[in-house]
This record gives sequence, C-alpha cells and structure tokens, in this order.
Amino acid sequence: MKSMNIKKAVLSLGVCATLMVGCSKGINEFGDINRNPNATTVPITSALLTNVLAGIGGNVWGNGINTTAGLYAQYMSETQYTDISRYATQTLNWDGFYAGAMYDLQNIINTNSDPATAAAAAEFGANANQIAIARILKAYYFSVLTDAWGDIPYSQALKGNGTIPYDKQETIYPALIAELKAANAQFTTGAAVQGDIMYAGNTTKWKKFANSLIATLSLRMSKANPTLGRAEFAAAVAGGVIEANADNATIAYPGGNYQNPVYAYYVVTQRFDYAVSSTVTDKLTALGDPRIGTFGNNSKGFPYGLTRADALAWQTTNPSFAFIFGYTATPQTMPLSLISAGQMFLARAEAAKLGWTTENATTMYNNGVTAEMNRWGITNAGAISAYLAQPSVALTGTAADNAKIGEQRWLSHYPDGLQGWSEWRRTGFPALTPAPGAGKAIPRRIPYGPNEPLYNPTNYAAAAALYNTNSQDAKMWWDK
Amino acid sequence: MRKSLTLLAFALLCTIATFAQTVLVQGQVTDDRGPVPNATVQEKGTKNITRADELGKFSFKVKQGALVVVTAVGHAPFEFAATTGYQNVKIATLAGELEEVFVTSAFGVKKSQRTTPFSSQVINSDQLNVIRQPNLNNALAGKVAGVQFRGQSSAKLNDQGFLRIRGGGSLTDGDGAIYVVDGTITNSFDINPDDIADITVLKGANATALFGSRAGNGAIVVTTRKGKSGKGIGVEVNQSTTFDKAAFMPNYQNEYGGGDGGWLTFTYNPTMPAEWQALNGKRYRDFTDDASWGPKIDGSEYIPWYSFIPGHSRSGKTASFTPQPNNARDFWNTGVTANTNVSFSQSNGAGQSLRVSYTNQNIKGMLPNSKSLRHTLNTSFSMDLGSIFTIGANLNYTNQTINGDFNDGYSNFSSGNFSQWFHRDLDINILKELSSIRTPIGTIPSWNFRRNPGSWSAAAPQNSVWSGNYWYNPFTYFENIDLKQRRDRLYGDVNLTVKFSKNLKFKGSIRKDQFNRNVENITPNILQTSGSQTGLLAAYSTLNRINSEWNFEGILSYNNTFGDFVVAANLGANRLDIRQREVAMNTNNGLNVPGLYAIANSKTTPGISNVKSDQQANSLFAFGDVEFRKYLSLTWAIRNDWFSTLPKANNSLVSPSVGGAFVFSEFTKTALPWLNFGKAFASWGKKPKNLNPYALNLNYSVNPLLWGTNFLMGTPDGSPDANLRGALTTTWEAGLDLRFAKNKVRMNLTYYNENNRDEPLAVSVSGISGFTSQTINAAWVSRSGLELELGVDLMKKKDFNWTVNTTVAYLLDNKVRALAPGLTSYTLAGGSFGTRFARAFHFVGEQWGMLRGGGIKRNADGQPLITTNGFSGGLGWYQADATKDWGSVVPKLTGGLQNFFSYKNFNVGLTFDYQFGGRFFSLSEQWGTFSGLLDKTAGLNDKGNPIRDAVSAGGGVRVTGVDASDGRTPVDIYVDAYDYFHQFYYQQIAEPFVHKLSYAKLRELSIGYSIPTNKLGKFGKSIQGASIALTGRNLFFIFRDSKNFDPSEISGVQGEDGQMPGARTIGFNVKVSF
Repeated sequence: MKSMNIKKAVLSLGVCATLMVGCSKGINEFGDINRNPNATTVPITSALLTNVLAGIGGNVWGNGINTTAGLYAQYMSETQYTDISRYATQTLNWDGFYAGAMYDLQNIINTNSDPATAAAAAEFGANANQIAIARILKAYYFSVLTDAWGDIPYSQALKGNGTIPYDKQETIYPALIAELKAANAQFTTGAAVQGDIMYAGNTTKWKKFANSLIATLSLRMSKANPTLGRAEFAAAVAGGVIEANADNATIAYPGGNYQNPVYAYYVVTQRFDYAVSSTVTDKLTALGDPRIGTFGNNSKGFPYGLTRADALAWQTTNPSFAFIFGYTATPQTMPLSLISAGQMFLARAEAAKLGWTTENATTMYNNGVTAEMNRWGITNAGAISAYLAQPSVALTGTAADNAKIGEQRWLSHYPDGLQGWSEWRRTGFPALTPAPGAGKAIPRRIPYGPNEPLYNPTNYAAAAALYNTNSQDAKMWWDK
Repeated sequence: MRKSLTLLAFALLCTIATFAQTVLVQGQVTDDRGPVPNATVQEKGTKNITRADELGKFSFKVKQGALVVVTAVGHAPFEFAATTGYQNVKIATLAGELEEVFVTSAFGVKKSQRTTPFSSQVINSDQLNVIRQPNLNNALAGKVAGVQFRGQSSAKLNDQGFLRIRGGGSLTDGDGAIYVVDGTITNSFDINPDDIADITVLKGANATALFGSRAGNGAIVVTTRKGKSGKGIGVEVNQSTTFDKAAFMPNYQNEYGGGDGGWLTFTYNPTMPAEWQALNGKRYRDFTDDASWGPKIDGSEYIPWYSFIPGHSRSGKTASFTPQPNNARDFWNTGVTANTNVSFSQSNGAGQSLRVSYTNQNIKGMLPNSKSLRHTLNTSFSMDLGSIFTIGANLNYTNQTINGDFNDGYSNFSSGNFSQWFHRDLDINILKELSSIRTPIGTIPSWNFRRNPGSWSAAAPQNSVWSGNYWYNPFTYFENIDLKQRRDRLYGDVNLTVKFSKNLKFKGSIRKDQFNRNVENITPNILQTSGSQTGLLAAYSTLNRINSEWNFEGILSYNNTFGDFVVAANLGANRLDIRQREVAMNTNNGLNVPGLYAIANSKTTPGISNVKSDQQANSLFAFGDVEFRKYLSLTWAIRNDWFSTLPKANNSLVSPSVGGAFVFSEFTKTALPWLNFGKAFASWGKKPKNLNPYALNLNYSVNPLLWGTNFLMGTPDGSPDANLRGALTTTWEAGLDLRFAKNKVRMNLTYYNENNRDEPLAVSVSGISGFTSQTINAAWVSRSGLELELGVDLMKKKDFNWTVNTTVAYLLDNKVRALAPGLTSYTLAGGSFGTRFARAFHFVGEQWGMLRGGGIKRNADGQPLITTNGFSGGLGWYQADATKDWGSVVPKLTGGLQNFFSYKNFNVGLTFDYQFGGRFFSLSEQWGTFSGLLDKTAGLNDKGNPIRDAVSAGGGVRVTGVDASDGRTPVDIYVDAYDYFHQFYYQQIAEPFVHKLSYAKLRELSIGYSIPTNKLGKFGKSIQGASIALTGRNLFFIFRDSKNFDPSEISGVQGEDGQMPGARTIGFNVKVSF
C-alpha cells in the first residue's frame, strides 16, 4: 500500500497546490495590481496649465485653422501645393481643441472647485486664481473656435457629453464677455499660481489680458451688436487693457524641445510650403515699413494664390523669396504674442473713430504703431515718427482713416492669421484680391469638420443648415 | 468555493480502488501515422476499461493472464495477453473506413471529431505545408472555412498578415485569433511551420470559451510534432530555397515625364559648376515637382538629373528622353529565402519519446538592404517514470533579427515613391548605378532637386540642385537608413501527469511565454543633410520590451465507462500572470556630433518612456462529455474567471457551454447504405471579454520633457466609465457532418450565430464632450454565416490518387446592432488623409465595417452631376457626395480549393483561394492619379487623340452626365486631363479608387517527386525517404477586381496607403530522412 500513500499524497498536494496558487489571497483578490504604475489618477493643475500654455502659440502660427486663416488673410502664400490659397474646401476637426487644451482648462476649474480635490490643488496656487486663469484661457480658446467655425457647442461643452446642441455665435459672444468679467472679479491675493509660463502668476497682468480680450470681442461685434460692443469696449478699457509690451500675452519659448512654431516648421519639420505673401511685402514696401526686415527673411514676397505650375515656374526664376520671420534662422526662443499692446491701441483707435470712446484716435493709432514697431525690435523713435508722418500712414481725420487703421491692424496681427482674417472679414481692410483665376471668393468661415456629422449628427445638421449646408462661403453672425 | 472543491477532490480520491492478484499493463497505442489518442483498452469480457490518453498511452491493472482488447474507430481490434512491462500496441487501420480525426481543444485535450458539437477544422501538416511558407498565417490561407487571410507583401519581412475568422466579431479589429501551441498561448510570428503536426481551428464561443478571455476572435490550436518510432535513426533534413520577384505592379503610364509643366531651357552662367557649361541651351523638365505631368516622352535630347552632378562618367552629358516602363518593378530585388530544418525524432518503445529540431530561415528581402535571420529551436519530450508519473516538456525558442525599412504608409520611400510621387521617365538602372555618388558638398544627389538649376546659387548649393526636395535616390536611402529589430521568444511548458488509477489522473503544467524585443533605429546624418523637405533629421532610437507570461494550470481528469455510457469529466484551475515592461528612448531634434548614434548625443533633451503593466487572472473550470453507445454525445464546459483588470466588486465572469452530437448514420445503415457516416451537431456557449490593465481610471502621465523647470501633464482623451464591466459573447451553431461513397466524399456544413453584447470598448465621441473616446459597455455586434468543408477522393487507384478539399464560407449577416446611447457611428479605421477620402465605420443597423467617403453625386437616373471645373471655370468636375457608402470591408464569400494528385512517385499540390465582396480604398491609386503616374492619366480619348492634349486640340477626358444646377440638362464635354484627374483630391472624391476585395488566385503549387531510396544502392540503405519538389507561390490571379493593387494583400482594414507589390515566389525543396 505504500504506492497508494504516495498517490494520495501527490493528489492532495497537486490539487491543493493548484488551488492555492489561485486562492492564496482569495480567488477574486488581486490587491493593487490594477493601480497604474505609469501614471497618477490625480491631475496636477500646474502641469495642466503649463501644458496648455506650451501649445497655445499654435493659435498665433502653426495649427490647422491658423495656417488656413493665414492664407485667407494673405499673410502667407503656398509655395507648391496651392490648394488652400485657391480655396479648396478644408476639412478641419475641432476635437483636438476641445479634448486637448480646453478640457485641460476645464479640468483645472473642476479640480479647484470640487471640495474633494480643491485643498490638494491649492498647493499650486490659490484655488480662485487658478480657476480665474483657466476661465480666461478657456474663453480665449472659445473665441478662437467661434471666429473660425461660427456657431459652436459652448454652454454644454466639456461636460462629458458629445451629443449636444451648438450655441449661436450671438449668444456666445456676450457669454464670453460675461465669463471674462467674472473671472477677473474672482482673482484674490492668495498664493501665486504655479505652472504659469506666461505671466508667472501675476494677477494684474491676467486681468489686463482678460480686459484686452473683452475689448477685442466687443469691437468684433461692431456690426452685429454695436450697442453691447460699445458698452463693453469702454468698460474693458476703463478696467485696464494691455498698454505696454511688457504686459503682452506672450509665450517665451525656452528652446530645446519647446521651440517657436515657425522655427519648428522650417527646421524640425523641414517643410517650406508657406512663404510670406507678396500681399504683405508689397504693402510693407509701399509704406516703407521697417517691419519688412522681421516679418520675413527678405523683402520679396511669394505671389499669392498661383496655380501649382505657375508657383513652380515663379520659383525657378525667383529662387530667393521671403519665408516667415528668419526662415531657418528664426531663433527657436523667439516669443509669440497672443495679444499685444500695439494691437490694443490700434483697436482703441478704431473704437475712437467709431465714436465708441472719447479717446483720441490719432494718439491711439500712433501709440499702436509705435508699440508694434517696438515689439518687432524697431526702437528708433525718429524713424517711427517719420513712418507715422507719411501721408499713406498718418491719420487725417477723414473717412480714409478707416482703411489706414484697418491696414495697421492687419499688419499688427501678422502672422496670427485668424485675427487678420477676422479683421478683414469684419472691416474689409485691407482690400484683398482673391486668388487669380480660382473663380472663387475668399472663404468666410471654416466648415465644420467630418467628425461632427458622425458623432453629433442631429445637432450638426441643425447648425450646418444655418450656413448653407456647412459652406465656407456663408457668413457668421458678426460678419456683416 | 474553496471548500466545495476540496470536498470534490476528496470524493474523487475515494473512488480509487485497489486490486489483488493483478498485473500492471502499460503501453502506448500507435498506428502508421503515430499515436492513437483515446483508444479503448479493455480487459476482455470484463468492465475493466481504460482509455488511452492524448499520446495513446495507457496503464491499468488486469488479472494475471487476462486478454486485453484495444479498440479504436477506423482500426481493427487488437488483442494481447497481459504481461508486465511496456506494450507497444500497433493497431492496423481499416481500408475504406473513416479515419478518425482528433480535435485539439483547450489544455491539449484530444477529442474525436465524431463527438465534437461545433465546427472544428483540422489541418494536418501535409495540407498545411503544401509548400513551405515563410510563416504560419500564409500557410493557412485558403485552407480553413470562414477564415479571411489578409496577407502582406513578401517585401514586408516584419509582417505576417492578419487572419479574420467569421467576419467582424468585435467592434475593434486589432485582435485576431489567438495562437495556442501545445496549450500555451503565444504569437503567430514565432511558430515554425516545420514543427507543426496539425492545427485545429476553433471559432465560436462554444469551442473557445475554455481558453479564456483572449480567444474572443477564435483560436488556432497547434500541436507540434512529437518523437515517434520509425525505421532509421530518425533524422530528417528539409531544405528549401525560394525566390520572390515583384509581380503584381500598378499599371503606369509611359508617355509623359516628370514635372508639372513643359520643357525648361538651361542657361549657363559662370557662377555655375564648370561641368554644366556643356549643357548650356539644352532643355530639361522640372526637377522640383514630384509628379509626372511633364513633357511627352518623345526620345528627344534632354538633360537628366545626374548630368548636373559632377564627378562621374555621366556628368554634363545629355540623354534621350525615353520610356522606362519597368523602372518601378526593377527597383525591387529578387528576394531569396533559404529555409533549413533538421530534426531528430525518436521513441524508445518504453514510454519515452523525444524530438529536437533546429530551423534556420535566412531571407534576403526584396527591399534593398533588408534581411531577416531566424533561428528556431524546438524540443519536446515525454517520459514515463514507472506507471504513475509521466513528465514532459515542449519548448520553443526563436531568435530573429530583422533589418530594413518596411514602411508601407503614405509617401513611403519605396512603393509610396513609385506609385504616388515619381517621375515616370527615370532610368532605375542609372539610379542604382549612381547610388553611391555624392555631390561636391557631400550630399546624396536626388532626381528631385530642391530647386531647378536655373536658381543655382554658388553660395548655397544645398538650396538648389544638390539636395533632394521631397525624395532621395531610393537606392541610396535604403543603403543608409538603418532600422533593426531583434526578437527573442521562449515559450512552452513542462508538465507532470500522475495516474492515480485507470480512471483518474492529474496533470499539472507550468507554461511560459517570454518575449523580448529590442529595436535600434538610426537615421544617419547624411539623410538629414541631403534632403530639404524629406522630413528626416539624424536620429537614434532604441526600445527594449519584455513581455512575460506565466500560466500555472492543474487539471484532474476522470474517465469511466458505465454500461453504454462513456464518461469523461475534468476539473481544473489556472493562474495567469502577465507582466510587460518597456523602456524606450529617442533623440530629439537631431544629433550634436554627426555620426554618433547614441541617446546622449541628442540635440535637445531625449525622449524617454517607461511603461509597466501587470495583470492577473484566476480561473476555475470544469468540462467533460458523456457518450452513449458511440452515437449520442453530450459535451459541456464551464469556466469562471476572475480578472485583475475588472472592477474589484465585479471581476468575475462565468462562461458556460454545452453541445450535443448525434451520429444518426448508426440507424440508417440499411436505409441509406451509401451514407458511411452522418452526424448532426449543435452547441451553445459564452466566452468572456476582459479589459486592458488600468482601463478603469483616467491616468495622467507626466511629460518628461520639461519647460524650464515646469513639468507638463495633459488630460487623457479617453474617458472611462466608472461602471465598466466584463462581458460575454454568445454563440450557437449547428451542422451536419456527412461521409458518402465509402468515405470518398466528406462534408461538413455549419451554421453559426454569434452575439457580442456589452463588450467594454472605447467608442469615438465628439471632442466637444472634452474627450474623443469613451469606454463603455454598450455595443452589440452580431454575425451569422454558413461554412462548408468538402473533401472528395476523385481517384483512388494504386498509382494514381486525386483528392480535392474545398472550403467555402458565406457571411450571412454581420450587423452592428448598437453602439453607445445616442451614437450611431463608430470609426473603425482610416488611413492617411482618412477624413479626406474614405474610412471604415460601424453604423448602427448596418453591416460591420462600412466603407464611407466622398462619392460622385448622381441624379435619380444615376447620371453624375457635373459642376464647375475648379481650375479653369466652366462645367467639368463631378459634384461630390460626401457620404457615399460602398459596403462592408469584409468579404461576403471566402474559400479555397486544394488539390492533391499523386502518380507513382510524383505528387502535385495545388491551392487556390478566393474571396468575393468587401471593399477597399486605394490611396496609392488616388495619388498615382493626382500625380499623373497611372496609365489612366494618359492614353487616347474616344476621338483617338491623347487625353493630355489641350481640349481645343481634340484632347481631354470625355465627361458625361447632367448639369448639377438643374440635375437634368445633359452634359457631354471634354475636360482637360490635368484638371480632371486633380478634381478627386480637391473635391475629396474617393469613388474612382474604391474597389472590391474580390479575387481568385493560384496561391500554392508544388510538384514533388519521392526518390525511391531502395534503388539508391548501398547509400540508399541509410536513407529512409527522400523527396524533391518544385514550388510556386502567388503564381497568378484567375481574376481580381482591382488591377493596380493586390486585393489579397491590402495593408489596412479600410484599404492601402502605400502598399508594396505582390510577389511571385518560385523555389525548390529537398527533404531527406535517415
């Protein structure tokens, strides 16, 4: 029977060993093995803010809607594949904005608002200040999106639901102004916000940025809702807008892995599809504008909107033409501004001219041009005065001033295509000629991208119907 | 649960009986082909019965002097007198009788196909290896009912294609079938066809539930070859050498050369290199544009690209502008694959068997500088230690190094060059001849200059002729790019079987699958300095990944016969541990020291990533069957899994299955004498679906690249649902298995129906929610279809045999019934420019994977609407219809046909395979059209004039339809060819480039000769067998819907982005056994 004992022993051991492997902790217990060792489940709000600001320069140059708008504003010309500058329909989705930077900002707001997480988040700055900064930046993003697409999801966006109606632009604009005012009112004297690579937690500067944004949005309503625009513009200026280049909403790139996007495009991506348009260089040349030395790496712009064959033929006989900034010599640390003092002065000049304020239009205009020259490194006061004194530049108190202000505003936003295109759509300045022979007008909006009819079909259809079945030629509310 | 199991084990223990005056009989049942599993071994005239195991082994005690009878289906009974010691029971197969086929299911359990209640096709090694294919998936093509094989070009040494079983089962398409080798789940890449004895393909939940959650899309169950006794020393040598030649190329035009315009005249000036002086006044066509809308190829004198590069024999010389119809084809090398396998197999007749094998596969690829070297070691042994214990092991090790750039995406440097952006007039032989020359500034000269020579600047030659605009010389690119990966995989098991009695045994196995991968990629500095818009910066990156998987498995098996009932019951437990680790690093923004390829040499802070992942699952399972009088059988299984990746409170999934088979031919022997065998079967089952690790939370990872001293973190774009849970897929199927005409005709017909509900998966949602995807349990996919296997022995003579096996599968319905609440579509797949042309979607209520994109808008009569020519004005372009549906990406009908002929010592194997239906979008065709490369962009119109001639001169493409403005007025006009062929990109129209996946082709041909070794004289005595074969693969298409790109090797789910050419493979094979 000895063998039987062995058998019994082995059987018992075998069965038990097998079961024990699975049952030592209880068969359904795995401890913390499903806790992710690569990541945290608690968002660090300062890191979210840095993440947003690190990418925000794409709104000045480089993201899809911006480069498209830059071609529509004729800041740039395409050098070979000229389809966008000849108005082939663009397919741009907005999901990257909403799910990217905008939800990061919403996340900062949520984390600082939720009583369960607010105390921990306060380690990175006063809760109220973090929320206020996030609200301002979120409003900025919504303004970028609505100016590109028109009616967009706003009031119900960023709440986890993807099948929500679009808000009308005429309600978004006042809502954004109200949001910015509320954010400004929220700032406290608490601990400085960390991760703020734009203003280093300086709440005064953030307030000026918010007021400047209110002023910009207000002026954009000049035709659609001048009553509200006028009131809000005046209030924003009274509250304090950006008046010095030191207060500009500027991203100063550290270089290395975070570079000026123009540098990154030419040097890292190694493409040269975009050159400075001859529309820009011709205007600068006509005005004798010294910024011609900084807008591009030389003064010869690329003709706008040529066919592909014509563009190639032109290049072969004109090998040297202007690329943006310093082309491949653009400093990778070159800063980009979302909103500058000069842009605000020029906006104030236009508002004064409209009779919205009692400010002196000429003073504002001269301040604006001067601040812009300074921003581009042109500090010779004599040269700037001479420039301003030219008949083609100087304001004369006549109706011709509108075009001059419009041109200077267009130049001040270079290379931020969306702002330049928006100003042109609203004011018609400068006078732009559509691409030759394309048989089309300059588009008035970016059509909704292909994801919306798939994932939000009902609400998309309702919105698209208001723009002549999502046409790029349909005008949005403020574009009259 | 623990308590009840212990009780059950105790109960089983009590059934162990003891015998007196007995003798232990032990042995192994074999026939000509090897072990016979599951044979009945009986002490004659008693109820003392045992069953042989999956290796034919048995041991039991009988009365001294008793007779032992061994019976197995299809074999003559065998009797022997019981004596102590090891019995080799060799039983004879009965001529004309049904050959018993054994299905291998989970845990290596062998089950006779007589009693399987679900579709289970078994492919033996002869059918599998008609010719020696480079990998398992290729070898299965056309041989399994219900399997669609999406192969890949032979040029892609790093890819083995994808097997889709029974259409789309889940909403995602990433996971195919699992591969199970001797019970261990592993990867198809590392399964050596030479070591395979047979393959069982299991499909529905009822067949695969016991494999656990990973077998959701079916299981390819491989049994490797084992040691067996035979004549000679047991050594077998198998060598094959095959040659791959690019065969299925797009149809290119050969009438117009490169550029985007006409001739340009070169004017020399003294700042230019002196060599150029001789070219003054000669003409050239544009070098900078990479399309072929240039001048007519008319044999005239022109300046080719290489003429502008000083320092070689062709510098400064003009050439004739002549057609180069084979330039793209001649780029591809003849690939050479040498595959040598040496194996040793022996069984000592005392319960000990051993097989060891070594395989060396050496491939010189079709792409320049690409190669693969694979070593495979395989060993399996089984050893009886007395009558109680058996130990065994199956171990496989593969080591493979693969070199080469196999990118087949948009604008890749091989196929993406020739078929998408190219100059049709380029002489490929001169590109090859000049691949090692350099410009005076040390860069690689390209056919695609950054600027034309007219823009020469001596101060910046790199901005003009001496750097590539978008492209390099393709030969030089592949000579310089250096991408390497090294794969090591060890998998297999060691096992111990304990036989407690003739009825009860325990088998414990420890299984391991260890996979290490090392990648080292170098983009050398010269590629950075030689290109202007090629997008390449000098770079080095490396990656190390370790995947380790352990399975600890124990199964208690009970077998007994009670009168007319044969009962088998198994009880087991399994513990699964999966651990993955990965460290990856890459340089960023270039290198500081040119030519030093090290992470530390990164221009800016290097990228690093470190990914850790662990998961576990515990499982208990029981399964078994009851067979009544050999004609009625019931099969059942139940498995309970607990997963670490599911929510703690809800981490258990129970998957039951049950099925029955009825061999009705037992009752129709007199009524239907021609019916040799008839079985009806039906089964039902559920299989579990699990989650990936860490899928329950929002996981914020830290970006290691700091902005100054600030660190960055982004909110993930995928949002999980706090209530996520696992899910179960339900399948039922039923069928008939029939054999007629003395078993010469064999058929199996199966209907299946599957419902996959509430699978946890990420569905795309609009970004306006704050996320772009959301993981929820909401989707519901169903599928049903018919599968037929038919085998016919058309001829069975002494010298001549002809057998045909065919498989056909028809997908009746493959519907997406639900997505998330409020969602009606799900994006399955899209290639580059996906949103611009066509993508594959799931739409609620429609078939799985619908191809949708830009079509041509038509009126009610089907007439295309003609709108404004966007380039020149006037009527000319089609009106786009942004949401045109072409149908599912899954073929409706798939199948294959295998023929085996033998005449005396000759044998021929022929495999055809085919599929009908299914759609794909060809991005290469779109760009090949846009760039004026494909044949349809040239040629004559119906007036007999070149379409590229001006419309005013009688040229142009004829366009008919109706005016879009009213939808009625007929339009019949000629449109400038350039405008016409550019409209599809500008208007986002995919329609002309959407094709059916339908094809039929001769996939395999083998003509073999068995050398009669008895005639080889003295030398032949040591040789047991020798054969030689001529083999061919992908020889030709009988038909195909798409003429430009091989529909059997489409690279993506929705279509191709830059597919490499299909290759025809010819070779030979020599096999000798000693």
